Amino acid sequence: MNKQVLVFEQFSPETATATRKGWQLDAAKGLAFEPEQERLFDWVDAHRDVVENDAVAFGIFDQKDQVALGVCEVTIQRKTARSKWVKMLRLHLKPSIDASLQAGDADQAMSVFVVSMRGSIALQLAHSANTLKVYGRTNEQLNFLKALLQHLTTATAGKPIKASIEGRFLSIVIS
Amino acid sequence: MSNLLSFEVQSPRADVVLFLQDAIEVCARQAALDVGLQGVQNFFAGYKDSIEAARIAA
Repeated sequence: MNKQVLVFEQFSPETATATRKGWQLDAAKGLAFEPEQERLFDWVDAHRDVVENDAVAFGIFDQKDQVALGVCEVTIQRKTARSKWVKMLRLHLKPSIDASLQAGDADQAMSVFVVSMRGSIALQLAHSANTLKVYGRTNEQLNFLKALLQHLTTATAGKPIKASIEGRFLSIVIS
Repeated sequence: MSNLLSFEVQSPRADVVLFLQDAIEVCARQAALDVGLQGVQNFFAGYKDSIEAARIAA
């Protein structure tokens, strides 16, 4: 069996439509609340392009499929003349992947998260942003981000990378 | 001195970015083991609530 290769890409009109339809099929099976999804994809349609200081929707795709496995909300912010931030604000899982997670299989959900993080880091390079901030709204999210920080601190020792928790964000600065 | 007068944003080094991407992959999976299945479920549940809260944080 071929290994699934996931990519982090902006939505095209075609992939946005295919994803909306794919997630509607999941909702029809009772895996999600359809009006909530409709609001999400209306938002995706309005945020497909990168606009500095505004949110943009990225999809996490199996490279062989047009239906996204996740929708990631990112902003690219210019903080000062010399400093830009990429903020990863939200990650919506395809309902079938969320159902697997609820059933005890976290593997695909974690793959979607990892690809979202890798993609957000790639945006740092593409947009000359030295800082990545990952938002943790709830205390449970912050607990996970703190665990991630602990490992990241060890893994990046000696590298020009500084990770810390700032407020409700995991902040990763590349100097 | 010319660097001090420049208003160009300094881009992160590509090799450091690639290193960080690989580190994130390993560290995220280690963090998932630390918090356990319930912790991972709770982490993703946090994204389901309150779209406005995230927008405000932006």
